[in-house]
Amino acid sequence: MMQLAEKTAEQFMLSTETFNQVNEILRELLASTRADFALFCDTNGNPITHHGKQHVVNLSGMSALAAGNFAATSEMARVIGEKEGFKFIFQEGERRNFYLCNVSYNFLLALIFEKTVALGLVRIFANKAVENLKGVLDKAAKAEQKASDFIDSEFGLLLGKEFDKSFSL
Amino acid sequence: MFVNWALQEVNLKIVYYGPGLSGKTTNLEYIYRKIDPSLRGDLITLKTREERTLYFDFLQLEVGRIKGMKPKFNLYTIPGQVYYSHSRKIILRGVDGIVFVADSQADRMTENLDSLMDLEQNLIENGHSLQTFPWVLQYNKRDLPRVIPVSELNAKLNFHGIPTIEAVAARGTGVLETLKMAIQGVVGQVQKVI
Repeated sequence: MMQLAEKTAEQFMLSTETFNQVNEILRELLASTRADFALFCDTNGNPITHHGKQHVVNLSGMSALAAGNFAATSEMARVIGEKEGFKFIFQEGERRNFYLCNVSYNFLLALIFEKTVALGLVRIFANKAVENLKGVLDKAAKAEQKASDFIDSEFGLLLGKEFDKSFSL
Repeated sequence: MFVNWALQEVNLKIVYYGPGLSGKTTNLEYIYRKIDPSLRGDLITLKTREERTLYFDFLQLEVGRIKGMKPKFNLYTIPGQVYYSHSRKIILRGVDGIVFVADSQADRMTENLDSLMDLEQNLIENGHSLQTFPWVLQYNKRDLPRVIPVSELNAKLNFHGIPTIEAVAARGTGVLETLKMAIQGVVGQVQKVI
């Protein structure tokens, strides 16, 4: 069976159990590093969960940018002959720093932390968290429920009505 | 598609494709202005100094819960210029549905065709094809002089007989209808996969 962390199919299903385990890993990561904020998203730019001080208001936008940034940087790695891509992206700000790394092929982990927090510390604990996240995602059983179980013709009809309501059509 | 059962969310990705200056960003800008602000995020645009899309534009919309699930739509545009090929491949990753924004002007037909071929090539690289993938064709800029008749656009671009819509994105004509059509196409595709 293909494991979730390596799965390249177009549909991802994340169970509540896996979601809770991911949250626990993020909580531990913030406690270990004293980082302010952790965001877990997929490489398609979908936010999955986050923890910490809410510096990021637009999580969907942040996830889209993180995914785009990571993908663009991976292309740069390929261009210079780095077949495995870069291990992480680090951006240094006036007050806060930003750290982004991949969790297997399909997921990304982003961290925001104050200048007073050492990058080395963040790297060590982020690497540990990545290994833990991979373990959780690999163990996650293939979801029994498929999108087609709930996205049926009635769903399509109701979606059309909700869409019209959103735009007052 | 990404389903987060813990949050009861269904995330769908729709990409606005098409040649440079065909009106992809204009579509998103109109949607952004028109939708209830409580149901959308910020419109993120990564532009050059000349106001052309450099990497992508992004807008997330959501609608009310359906059968307990909260549908969220992640709308992206691609940079249309030929030399941004790598960026387009990246943005197409995980796409669920496509809106192809064609420029109706007679002198833009070559660009429309080139962009459509580029899309087909990129879809094939991701294991899809225009023949089976959910996409809609928007014939934009219908208000301009020297536009090609729809019958001719259909003959040249719509070789799979997919849904089409005439639009003037700058005025909002046909923009929401296009998005709704694309969303219904994605939902229809999920049902076909059963």
